[in-house]
Amino acid sequence: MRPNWAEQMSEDDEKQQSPPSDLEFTSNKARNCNATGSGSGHPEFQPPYPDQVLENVLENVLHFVTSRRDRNAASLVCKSWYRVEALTRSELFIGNCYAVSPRRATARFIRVRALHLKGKPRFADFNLMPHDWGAHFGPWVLAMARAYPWLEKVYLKRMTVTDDDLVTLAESFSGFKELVLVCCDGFGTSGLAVFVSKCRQLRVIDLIESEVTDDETDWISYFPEGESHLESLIFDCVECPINFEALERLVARSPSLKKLRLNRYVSIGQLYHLMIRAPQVTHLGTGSFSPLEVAGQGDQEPDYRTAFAACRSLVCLSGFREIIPNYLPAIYPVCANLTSLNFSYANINTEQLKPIIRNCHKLQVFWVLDSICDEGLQAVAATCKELRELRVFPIDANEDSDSPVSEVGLQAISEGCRKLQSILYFCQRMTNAAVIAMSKNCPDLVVFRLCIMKRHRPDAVTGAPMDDGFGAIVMNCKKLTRLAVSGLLTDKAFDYIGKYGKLIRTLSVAFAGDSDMGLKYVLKGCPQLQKLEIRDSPFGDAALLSGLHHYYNMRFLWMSSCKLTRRGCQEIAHATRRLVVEVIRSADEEEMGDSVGTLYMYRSLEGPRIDAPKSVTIL
Amino acid sequence: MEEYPQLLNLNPMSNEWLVIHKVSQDRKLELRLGPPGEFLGYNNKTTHGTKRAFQHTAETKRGGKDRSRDTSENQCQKISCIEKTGDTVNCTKTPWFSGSTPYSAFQTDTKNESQHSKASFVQNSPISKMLAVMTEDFSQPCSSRMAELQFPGRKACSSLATADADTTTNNTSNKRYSPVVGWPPIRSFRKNLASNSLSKPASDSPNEKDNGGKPENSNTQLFIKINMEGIPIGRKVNLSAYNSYEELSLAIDELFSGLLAAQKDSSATQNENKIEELTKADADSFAGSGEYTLIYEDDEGDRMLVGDVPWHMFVSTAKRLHVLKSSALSTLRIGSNEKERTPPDPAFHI
Repeated sequence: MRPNWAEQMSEDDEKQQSPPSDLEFTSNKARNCNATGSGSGHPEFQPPYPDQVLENVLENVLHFVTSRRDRNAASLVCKSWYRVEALTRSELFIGNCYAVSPRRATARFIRVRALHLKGKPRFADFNLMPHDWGAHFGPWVLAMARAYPWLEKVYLKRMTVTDDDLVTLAESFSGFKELVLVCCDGFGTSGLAVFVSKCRQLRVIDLIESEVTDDETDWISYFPEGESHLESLIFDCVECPINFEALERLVARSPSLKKLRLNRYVSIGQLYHLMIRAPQVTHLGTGSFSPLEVAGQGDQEPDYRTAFAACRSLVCLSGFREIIPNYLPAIYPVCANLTSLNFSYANINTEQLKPIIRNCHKLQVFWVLDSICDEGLQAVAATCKELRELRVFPIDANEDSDSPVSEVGLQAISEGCRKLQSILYFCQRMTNAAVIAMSKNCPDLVVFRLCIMKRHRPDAVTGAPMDDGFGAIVMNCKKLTRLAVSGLLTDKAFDYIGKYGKLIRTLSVAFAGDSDMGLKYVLKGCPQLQKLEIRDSPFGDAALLSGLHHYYNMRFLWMSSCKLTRRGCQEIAHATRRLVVEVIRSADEEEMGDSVGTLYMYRSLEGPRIDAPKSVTIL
Repeated sequence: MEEYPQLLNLNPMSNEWLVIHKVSQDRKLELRLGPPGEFLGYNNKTTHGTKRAFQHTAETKRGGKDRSRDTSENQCQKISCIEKTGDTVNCTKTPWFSGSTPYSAFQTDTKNESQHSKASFVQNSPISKMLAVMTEDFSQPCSSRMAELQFPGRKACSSLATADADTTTNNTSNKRYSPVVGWPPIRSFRKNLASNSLSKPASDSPNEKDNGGKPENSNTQLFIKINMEGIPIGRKVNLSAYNSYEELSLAIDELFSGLLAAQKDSSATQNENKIEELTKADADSFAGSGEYTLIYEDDEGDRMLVGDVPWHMFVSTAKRLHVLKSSALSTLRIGSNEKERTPPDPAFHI
C-alpha cells in the first residue's frame, strides 16, 4: 500500500479500500502457504500457519474495537489486520454514499449488522439542491439484501428512500430491528405501512425531520397484532393524521416502549391516554399539546399533571407543536429530572418559560424559540448549570424582523452555563464582545454556530466586522470541531480560523470574506477540515486550486454562488482522479457562460456516478 | 416571496423598498420571474412542518398536478392577472385549464411567503368587508400576520443580487421579490412559526380552538376537490385561502358560475341571487333558502353539512366538497361513500 495514501485514509470516517492491495494480498497469502508447507506434495493440506493463529487472536480482540476511526487505523497496520478487521466490522459507517459503491462495500465487509449511511450535504436542507439530485437508498438496499441477510439496523441521513426500498428492507432481513431516517424523503405512509407490517422484530422506528408523503394509509394499524418489541416510535415529523385508536392499542401492547414522539395530530387529551398506558417512557414527544377540538368534548379535562408525574423515568421532552401555554404547568412534575427539553416549536414567552426552567436543574440539552427573549435566556443561564447544548431558533426566520434575542442573551448564557459544549444561536444582532465572552467563559465548546440573520451585519455596538469575535472563539475554544460563521466578516476572520482552528472538521461560511485569501487561509491552515460548505462568498478559482492538496482528505467541499468558473473547476477535475466534481445548475439558471452556480466536490473510489440528474454536470 | 408594492398600503417602508427594488431590478434583468420559491432553490414548500427535499410527491399527494411546478410563464400570467384585475377571485378563470387557482402562485413556502401571499390576496379581495372578516377571524395570528404585512417590503429590500438570488423581473409590471434562497438556514418545517402563531401567548381559554388544527394548512395550499351536482367537471378550491364560510361560498360561487352559465340560461340571475344570500349570511347562521347546499366529506369519510363547526375545524377536517341542489338532499348518492346522511337542518346554503 502506498504509505502516504494510507495516512490520508486514517483520519477519515469513511471506509476506504485500495484495490491494488487486494491483489497483492492474495498473492502474498499464497506465498506464505507455500513457504510453510514444507514443500510437501499435498497442496490441499495447509497446516495452520502462524499467521492464522494470530488472525484468530486478532479477530477476538478486534471484536472489542468499536470506534470506526480505531478500526480504520487497525485496518492499515498490515494485510492480515486489514482482512480481520474487515471480517469483524459489524457497524458500517459511510459518510458520503457516493464515495464508495454498495458492491465494493459489501465485498470488503461481509458481516455487517448495522449500516449508517449519509447522502446529501447539509445545504440540501435549505433548497440549494435539486430535489432529484440523488442519494438513493435503492442500490444500497439491494446490495445488502444479497450480502447481509443478518442486517439489523439501518440509519440514513439525507437519503432518498422510496416505498419500494422500505418494502425491500422489510422483506430481505428477517431479523431487522432498527430503522432511523433523519432528513430523508421519497417515501410515504404506504411504504411505512408495509414496512411495519413485515418487520416482526422491529424495535426502533424513528422518523426524524423527514418528509413523509401522506398516502392516506393508516400505517399505525399495520403493526402486527400481539405483543410488540417496540422500544422507540418516533414520528413527530409525519404530517398526516394518525389513527389514534390503533396507536393507543399499539402503545398498550408495547411494554418495552421507551421513546415515543407523537406528531402534531395527537391532541393533548390523546397524549394523556397514551401516557397513562406508557408511564415507562424516557423520551416523550408531546404532539400538539393542545386540544384539537373545541371544548365540550368531555366534561372535564383529565389531570395531565398526574400523568406526567407518573412518568418517573422521563428525561427527554419535546413536541409542543401547537402549544396552548395554559397546559404547560402539567409538565412541572418532570422538570427536575429532565436532561433534554425541546421547546423549538413552542411559541412561549419569557413569563411562560420561567416557571418551567426554574426547575430544570439537570437540563443538558435545551432547544427553544427566540420568543423567550434575552430575559428567558437569562433565566436559563441562572438555573441550567449543567447545560451542554443550546439551540435558539428564530420564530420569525426572515432578515428584517426584530429578533428578540441578541448579544445580551448570549452573554448571559456564557456566564451561566460554563459547561456549554454546543450552541446554535439565531439572532439579528450580535457584538464581538459577547462572542469573545463566550469564548472565554465556555472553553469546552465543541460546536459554535452563530447565525446573524441579517447578512453582512457588523458588530451592533461598534460597527466593526465580527472578525474578532470568531477569532476569539477559535483561539480560546481549543476543542472546537464545528464552526459556522455569519455577520460581516473580512479575510481576517479566516486568517484566525486558519491559524487557530486546528481541530475544525466542519466549517460553514455564508456571505463572508473579501477575497480569495479568506478561503486560502482556511485550506492551508485547517488540517482536520472534513466538510466545508460555503455560499455567497467572493472566493474564486485561485482559492479553489490552493486547496488541491487537501481535498482528498475531506468528505466534501460545497461552494455555491461564489466566484468560481467552469475552467477552474475543470482544472481541479483534471488534477485529481479520485475527486468527483459536480457542477449543479440552479433551477432557473440557464447556461450562464463560464460561471459556476454550485460546486459540490467529494472524494470517491468510484468515479462519476451514473444517477445524476440533468441539472448536475460531472466534470 | 412575492410582493405587490402597489397593493400593500400597510407597508411603511414602501419608499425605501421601491428604491432598492429598482436597483435590484436592474441587476436581475436576465433572470426570469417565477413564483415564490419556484426558483427559490428547488423546492416548492407545499406543506408546513416537514422538510421537503422535493416537491413532486408532496404535491401529487396533496393536490394533484395542478400544483406541480408550472412554468414561470404560467405563474407570471397568474400573477399579472391578479395584479391587473385586483380581483383574485376572477383569476380563477385564467389558470382554469390547469385546474389551479391563483393561490398556486403562492404555493411555495420557504419563508412566510404563503402567509404574505395569503394576506395580500385577502387584501386584494373586492369584498371590502373581507378585511374586517379577516381581522376577526384571524384571532391570534392576526397581530403577527398584520406585522407581516409590513415586512414584505423590508424583506424584499434585503434581497441582494446573487447568483442564487431569486428572479424579480417579469414581463409584466408586477414587481416581486423573493428572499435569498436558503437564508437564514432554517429547515422548512421550522419556518413560519410566527405566522402560524401556534398559540396565543397570553392566557386564553384552554379549549379555544386556535388555528392549531391548521397551522400547516394556513401555510400550505389545502386544495380539495369540489363538485357541483349536474356539472361533470369538478374544481379545486384552496381552503387555506379563506377565513370564513362566507368567503368560501363566494369563491365557490365564482368557481361554478361560469360553468352554470354555460349550462343554464338563467344562471346570471341565479348567481346574483346567490351573492345576495351570501352577503346576508354570516358565519353563525347560514339561514336562507338557497338553491344549493354545500356538503363536505371529512377525514373519516362522512358527509357533513358545511357550517356546523367553526371554520378552523372545518378546514382541518374537510377533504372534499360537494355542491348539491337542496332539493336533492333527500336522495344523496354522490360518489362512492359508505355512509349517507340527511342533514338535520339546512345550516349552510349557497
